[in-house]
Amino acid sequence: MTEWTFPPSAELAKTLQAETIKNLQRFSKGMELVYSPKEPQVGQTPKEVIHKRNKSTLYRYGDAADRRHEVPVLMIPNLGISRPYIFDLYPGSSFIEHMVQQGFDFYLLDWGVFGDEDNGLTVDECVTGILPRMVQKVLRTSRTRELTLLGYCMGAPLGACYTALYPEPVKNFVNMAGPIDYQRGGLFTTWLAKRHFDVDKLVDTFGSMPADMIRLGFKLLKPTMELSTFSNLWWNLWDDKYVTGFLAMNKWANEYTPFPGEFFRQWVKEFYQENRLIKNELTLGGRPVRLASIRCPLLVVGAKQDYICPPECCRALADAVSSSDKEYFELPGGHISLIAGRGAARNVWPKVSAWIAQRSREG
Amino acid sequence: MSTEQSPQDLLSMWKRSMDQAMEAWRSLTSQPQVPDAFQFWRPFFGQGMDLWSQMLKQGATGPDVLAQWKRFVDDSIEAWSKILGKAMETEGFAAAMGRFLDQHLNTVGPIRKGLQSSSEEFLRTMNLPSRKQVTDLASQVISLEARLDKLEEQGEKIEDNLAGNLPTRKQIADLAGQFQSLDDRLRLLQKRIDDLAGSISRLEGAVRQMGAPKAAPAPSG
Repeated sequence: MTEWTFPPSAELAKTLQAETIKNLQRFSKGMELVYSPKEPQVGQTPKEVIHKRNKSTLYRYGDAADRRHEVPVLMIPNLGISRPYIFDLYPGSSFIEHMVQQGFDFYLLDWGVFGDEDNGLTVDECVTGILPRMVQKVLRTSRTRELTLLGYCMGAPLGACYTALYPEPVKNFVNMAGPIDYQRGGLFTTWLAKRHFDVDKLVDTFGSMPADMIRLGFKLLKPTMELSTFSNLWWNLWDDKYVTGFLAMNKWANEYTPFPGEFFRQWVKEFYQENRLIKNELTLGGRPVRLASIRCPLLVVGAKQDYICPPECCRALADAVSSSDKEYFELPGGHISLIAGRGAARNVWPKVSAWIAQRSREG
Repeated sequence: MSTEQSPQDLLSMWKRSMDQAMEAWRSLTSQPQVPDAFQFWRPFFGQGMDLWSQMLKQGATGPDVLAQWKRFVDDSIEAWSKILGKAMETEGFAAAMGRFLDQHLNTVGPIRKGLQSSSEEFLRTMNLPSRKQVTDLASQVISLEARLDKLEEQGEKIEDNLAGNLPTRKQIADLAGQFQSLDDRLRLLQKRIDDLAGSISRLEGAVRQMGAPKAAPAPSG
């Protein structure tokens, strides 16, 4: 048995004192969290509404004086599942704030929270109806002919489909943790396989994919996540900065939104179960979607421990396009680590913004 | 015969009830064979015991007991996470989840349908709108909004086309300047023509004067 090794007594006293103070702070802040919880302020980067279409809203960020790049950036997040304020969590931890500070004319498409009246919305309508209109609005507002599309998670395959069908206005395309080859989609590929998952029965019963079921599915991906989250919270409860970040992230992590029924049905069948996108068998709006039609510069970013979109699942886009200027890089961390957190701010955002900046001159 | 039950009897009774419960679950979920619960849980307990004995062997290395406890908790959670992850990757788990969902939908579906029709009937009786009616109305509003958006889009296209074909203010100003310059030149030309005409007239007069015979002197007397 290893012997106890004690530091000199003065240091020991200091250590014990610091630990005692921390524990008192943990207790006090814990009580504050339980008895007077404060609603975290998220999405604080100033923005203006450019266009609204049903539940979808196009936002523009930043001031004209701060814009240095000619080509605007349109970010396409996931439809359903969660809210997009993860990209603008709080000052100092906001991807959108970073992009605005780098001088980009930045737009975000907020798909919105869909209700029963939207259950007829299809993937076709999103890619051939909503996205082209939003792109048009971006080009008109910024008075340009081209833009950079940045897709995150499910927004990336939607953006890729759009770019394959309408390549003209897309100057650059960035895929951040967006699944393309659904055969390598990890746990979701297994769970949503045709032999196990009857998507028709589910959509016909509920009309949509309810938010609670989406929450259950994502929590099941990593069942011990809640335990480690609260263990880390308790450990860092004395740190105000940590608690602020935790509250904001926790709010986002527990706010799920439903999928429109027909969208979910088509998404599961044509993307997950039949993997039509990478096989070049997908048709949207009556037109074939061929990833080889994408010739613009491409950047693909994957996360090593991403269990929602494993690296090989998103990297497949780089092999499928005809672009000559393409780059893939992979970083340690999970799905969210690319878009939120200190690691993202240090390792991911500067790389992405630098890549886009180099390719943001018109013509 | 002893009336007291020995621990072994109790254990056997408990094991029998577990087996019966598993059998019932198996027939409910139509699984081909009864899964061995101990087979499933043994790795968890084994992992936990390994970690605990490792920690005991290692012993505390300092007074920072809380940090060591935190490390133990983190390591345990990580271990559990790996085991659960491996279990959930399997076809068996996916199949079980699929069957569970199927059963759930088979149960919930008819209940939802029944509740929906009875609540619609009730609301109709009370002369109140049902959820379906409100949803249909919302769908119509969405459809109307989409048409308006389409009109706006077409208007923007027309505007862009016109802007492309109509001259700009600068172009009009340039054209006006050119017209002015042309006008000035024409005036200059006109003046020169007038001057020329005047010269020609004077020349004509001079020529006439030169060519006309001298008049005979008037007779005297």
